[in-house]
This record gives sequence, structure tokens and C-alpha cells, in this order.
Amino acid sequence: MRPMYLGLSLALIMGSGVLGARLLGLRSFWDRFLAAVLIALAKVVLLSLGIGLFPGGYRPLPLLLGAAALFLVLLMAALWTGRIAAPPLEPGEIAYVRAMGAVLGLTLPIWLWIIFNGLLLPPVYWDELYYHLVAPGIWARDAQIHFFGPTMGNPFVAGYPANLNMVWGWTMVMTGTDVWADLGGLSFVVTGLAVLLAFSRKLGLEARHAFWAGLLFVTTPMVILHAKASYIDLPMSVLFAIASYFLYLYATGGARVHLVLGGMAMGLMVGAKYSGPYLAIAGLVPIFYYLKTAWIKRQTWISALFLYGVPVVLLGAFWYIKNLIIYGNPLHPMRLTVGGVALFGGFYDSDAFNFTKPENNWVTLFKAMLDLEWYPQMDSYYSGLGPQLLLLAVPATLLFLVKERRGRWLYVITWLIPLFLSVASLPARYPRYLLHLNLFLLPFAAWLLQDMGRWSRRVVQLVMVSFAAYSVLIATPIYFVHVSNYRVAARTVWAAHLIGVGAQDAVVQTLNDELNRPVRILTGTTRLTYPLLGERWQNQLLHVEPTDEESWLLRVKETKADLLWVDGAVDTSVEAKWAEKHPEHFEPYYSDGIVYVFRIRQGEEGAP
Amino acid sequence: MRRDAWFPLLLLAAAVLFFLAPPRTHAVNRALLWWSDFAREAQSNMLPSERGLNVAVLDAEGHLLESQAFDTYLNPDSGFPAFVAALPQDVWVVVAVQDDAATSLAPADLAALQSLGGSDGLAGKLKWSYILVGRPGLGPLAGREWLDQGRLDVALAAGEVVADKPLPTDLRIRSAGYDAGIFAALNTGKADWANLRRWIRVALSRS
Repeated sequence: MRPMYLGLSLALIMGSGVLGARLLGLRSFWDRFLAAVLIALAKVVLLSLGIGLFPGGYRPLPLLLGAAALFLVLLMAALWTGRIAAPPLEPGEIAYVRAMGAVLGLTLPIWLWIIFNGLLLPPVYWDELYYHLVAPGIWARDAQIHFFGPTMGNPFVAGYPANLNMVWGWTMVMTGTDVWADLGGLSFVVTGLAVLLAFSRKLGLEARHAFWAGLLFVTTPMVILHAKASYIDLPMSVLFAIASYFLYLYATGGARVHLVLGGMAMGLMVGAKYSGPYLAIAGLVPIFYYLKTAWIKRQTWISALFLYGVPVVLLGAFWYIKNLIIYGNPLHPMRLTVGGVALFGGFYDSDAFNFTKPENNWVTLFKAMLDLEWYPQMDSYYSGLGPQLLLLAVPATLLFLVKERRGRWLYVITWLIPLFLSVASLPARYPRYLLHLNLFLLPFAAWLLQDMGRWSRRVVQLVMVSFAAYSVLIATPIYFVHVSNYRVAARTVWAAHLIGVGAQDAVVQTLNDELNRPVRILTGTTRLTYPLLGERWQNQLLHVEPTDEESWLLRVKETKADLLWVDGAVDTSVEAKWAEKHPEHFEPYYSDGIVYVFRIRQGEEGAP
Repeated sequence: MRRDAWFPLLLLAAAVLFFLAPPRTHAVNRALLWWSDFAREAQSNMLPSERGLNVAVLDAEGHLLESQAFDTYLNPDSGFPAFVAALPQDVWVVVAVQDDAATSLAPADLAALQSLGGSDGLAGKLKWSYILVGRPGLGPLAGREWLDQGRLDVALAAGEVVADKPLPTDLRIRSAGYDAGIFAALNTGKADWANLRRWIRVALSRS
């Protein structure tokens, strides 16, 4: 029954996207495709918040009804305006559709392998266990989107913007499992390919050359890895490319619909990651370029900024306002410092404008681009940006700028400067933050092919095939968190959400089985929170701020928790230190040297 | 040279340098290792993987006919000699020890091992790992035998000669006594992908 909910809801959502794109009057198939994706994602975000915030609202039926109602509204509007039929394909578009089909068909074995992994293995990567899946799991369990405040020990779960987590959450609430959330990256692989082809077409490239750029994008090692991971870096890169594509169209044509769509993509990003606002600022560059070059009067400037800003605020501002109200810091748990002055206090540096930081970040950037950044392994070395970026796409872009004298500044200002700002504004430490480099620059590798003689082209295509083959070879094994062995993996799928720390997961499972009920887990500093929720996210997670020993002990008693779970021993965790001081209340239950778990003694004699 | 030939040549040179760089060869080697390991794990283990002597019988073409375990740790009358005596002459026999096979190993068991081409070396080797590849009626020491306190991992290629006859298939045999990990495994070139089928069933059930 529950997979049917997911299928039905996705049909309604994508149907709404398609109708919405037709209502906007977009002529190009690719513009309609990308607009449909944006409208569908916006619908997921708005429906999740609009219905899920009410008690009992975050359940399949209310969300389905909401999706159906919106679909009907759009259907009636399409019928009313006579825009129900799909416009015919523009000249040359069918060749691009075939190129997309060829890329996906040729790489089909990779995606079947990814789907097999997604169905067989539970979520295994760090951030999805740390925070991306935690809040959606709890919301699906409680049938309501709610805010955690100080009751959540993991500050990223409590504070980080969650637009894309809600996209993963949509599949979780519909199906009651995290399987489809973990395979959500696949849809962004297809969307990324679509935006790459759309931009290639605007560059005037033939579809048969754009095919090669598309092939090298989807075989980027990190793209393959992130196809099965509930991370948000691939979606962020794809959304930024969509935003830049529509803003490029606005800069070249001035159509307001493109401005609104660019704003929608940026708004989805603003509400998904703290780097989103900086990316939205980068998006102003092509807008100002158009307004300046077209000699637009002041009133139009204001309306243009309004049309761009409204979708950004509507889709992105919610989480910042929530944080401001709950924590007094819109960026909680990040701190924001401008010119050495801390505007908002937090636990971590904000992900922004690190080009003011030491040059070390740029060294790291180049190492990441060459896949020489060894840490963390899942980002690079075995699954980085591939040789296609630095050896092919970057030189091709430089050649394009040298040889295409007419119109090159248009691409520099509308495409490359926003790209540079996005890279400069992100910490270069994690190569996955740079994934959109491939998406933005690989079209120029296709341009290179078009500009070449037959034999030179053959040689370059041969090298491209070797790059793709190499990338697929190194990216398709499962390397992270000890998943080196399918015998181990297959044994754990019934019981574990996390193979790497299967023993920790077994602690939760064992206690659930022993008590035959959900357990209440008091967390100290807990990094890998998701596995603590247990099967079907049944367990309750609690947190008591460790202010002083006596009041902490008293409040621990009030929680009626079964377990105390802390990352770190007595020298790093104050909760562990106090628990060890009171063996009459806290019985050591499990430790692997990283995690310390205490059974909290209940009853008159034992309770703290 | 054509005007546009310099870029492909430079790209070709850069690609060669890239692939020859140690991090790349390391990544490729690691990936190949992972895939070969996956292929092994996706196959079924043709041995029962139980305590004692784990025996697989392969036909002349290398296909599995039968596999059985005999607990010579606990049982001096495990039935192993009778099993060997009933084997036809044109089969291959693989024996691998899991946990311990020596504690209750009877003289008749040793004689049966010798008739398959082994020795009496396993006697008294409590908790040792042991592998034998032979055929019925070969006689002592005519087959191939490995005995060690640590883990044994033996790979034999198809065509390799054992007791004057070429092996019909690749064999990968692993044995681990009590102190070395406690397992016995046999994979052959005539693969039976039972584990892969099982994983696919699990994957479908999760969907």
C-alpha cells in the first residue's frame, strides 16, 4: 500500500510541475523540463510545511490530498487558459532528447547497480546519519513537522535549513522507509544532465557533441556516489546550475518568467543550506548585467529585484525565521562574523566567503579538482570530480574564452562569475561542495569537440571514454564505513541502519527487542543520531543541557530515559564524567571507545 | 601537424600522466580488488562451513556434486571413511577444515584422507587449518595438501595439474582453524551465484 502512496504522490507532484511549466508559457522542451522540476520541488516544500506543521498533518493521506488539490487547481487553470497540450518540440530539440536518452541508456548498468545498492544497503554515509535523515524520520514518526529546540542534542538537526531534507522526508513519510530517500540522488543525476544539455544547446552545440559532456557529467565519480546517498550536495549543485541557466536566459532575453524561475531555484537552495544566501547573491550578477546593458529604467530594476527576491524569500526564509525565533540566531548552529564582528554566535564557522581565509583553501581546491585530496575518502581520491574536470573541462573553458571573441563576456558574466563566486564562497575543504564545477564547465568540452577536425576529435573522444571508464571503475565500489564486503552488508540489512558502527546499532536493536517497546534515549553530544531512532524511527531522543551536575541529575530523572548515549569519554564529555561518578544511577552498558552508553537505573533505589 | 592537433596531443599526454600517478593506480587497484572480492562473495560457498572436515565433491567438469561436513572434533565415528569409500573414481574432492578437525580424528579418517591423496599430517594438529585437493584412490601424498596454524587461502587455476590430471575449474579454497577465524570456503570457476540471488531477493523485499 505504502509504495502506492509514493507513486501516486510523485505522479501528482510531477504532473503539477508539468502543468505549471505549460502555464508559464515556456516554449523550449528543456525549459519546461527544468521548470517542472522546480515547481515539483517547490510543491513538496510548501505542502510539507503548509500541511505537516499541523498535528497529524505529516502523514500520507493529508499530504496526498494537498498534492491532489494543487494538481486540480493547476489542471483547471491549464484548461481555462488553453495551455493543456504540450507545445511541439523546437527545431533540433529531438536530437537533444535522443542525446539524453543515449547517455542514460549507455550508463544504465551504473544506475541499476546504484538501485541494487540502494535497495540492499541501509543509509551508510556520514551526513545522512548525522542530520539529513534524522528530522524527517522523527517527523514521519510523530506525523507532524515540529521544532526541537534544546530537546535535541544534535544542533544540526535542530537548526539546519531543511528544504531538501523535506524532499527526502516526502519519500519517508509516504513509504515508512528510508530506501527511497537514499535513492533520491538519482533524480538529480537526470536533472543535472538535463540542465547541462539545455545550456549546451544555448551554446549552439550539436547534440552529438553535447552527448559527450553529458556522459562525462553522469560518470563523474562523485555523481555516481551521491546517486545513492541522502546528501544535499548533488541537489544543491544541480539547483544552482538550474538557477544560473534561467538567469542566463533572463540576461539574454529579459523574460520575467526566467527571473522568477531563477529565484525559485535559489529559494529552494537558500532553504536547504547555509551557503544558499551567498549563492542567491551570486545570482544577482546576471540580473544586474541585463538591467545595465538593456538601459532599463529604475522602476524596472525594482520590479526585477522584486520578482527575483519574492520566490527566494517564500521558499527559503522559513528556516531562518524559525531559528531567529527559537535561538535568536537565524543561522543556528553556525556563527556569522562580518569584519571580525560576531553578528550571531554559534558553534561553527558559517560556510561563507572563505576567499578571505588563508590561501590554503585554494591549494585544497586544486587538490580536490585533481582528486588528490585524500580526506575524506568518499569525497575525493576514490570518488572525486574525476579527470574530466581539470584535464578537459577547465582547459576547454579557457580555450573557449580565447577563441570565442564575440559574446564571450556574456558567458563570463552570466555563467562563469556566478560559478566563481559560488566556489569562492564555499569552504574548499570538501570536494563535494564543488560538484557544480563539472556541470558548468563540461559543456565547453563539447564546444571543443565541435571546433575540431575529425582525427583530433577522435583522439579527444578516446580520452573521454577512458575518463568515463576510469571514473565508473573507481566510483562504483562501496568504500565508506567498512562496507567493503557484501557478505557483511547483506547480513546487516535486516537489523542495521549503519554498517560502519553496526555494534552501536545492535545496542539499540537489542534493547528494543529486550524491552519490546520503543526506548527513550538521552543523548549527550551525539554525532550519528539517525541509527538511534531504531527500526521505523520508533525511539525517542532526548537531551538535557549539562549546566551543573545536580540539576542535570534531577532533570535526567524527569526524562524517564532508558539509556544515556554520549560520544566521548570522561575527558571529553561532561555527561559521561557525571555518569561515571554515579554508578548507582548509571550502569555502563556498551562502549567501543568512541561511544559510551549507560543504562539508566529506574525505580526508587536507582533513579537519579 | 594540423592546427588543432596540439590540444588532443597535450590532453593525451596529460591523461597518461594522470593515470600513471600513484594515487590513480592505487585507486584502480583498490577498485579491482573490491570487485574481485564482490564476485567471490556473490557466489555461494560450496562447503557447508561447519566444524570439522568440510568436503566438496566435484564432477570431472568441475561442477559440484555433493558437499558434506564431518565433525571429527567431537565424533571419532563421523562417517567420513564410509563417505570416501562410496565415492566414484572420476571425481575431484576438496577438503577444508573449519574450527578443529583433529581432536577426535580416528585412524580410519586419516586413512581416508590418505586414500584421497593426503597425508597423516593433520593428526594431533588441534585447531589447525587444513586443505586437501585430491581424487579417490590416489594414495598417500599424491594430491595437493596444505596445513598451517594460521589461515589458509589457496587459489588453483583451471588446467593446473594435480596428480597427473589437469583441474577442470579454478578453485579458491579457504580454511581457518579455531585461532585463525573459524571458516571453510570453496568457490569455483563454475560459479553458483546463490548469494547474489539472495541479495537480489533482499533488495526486492526492501522495495
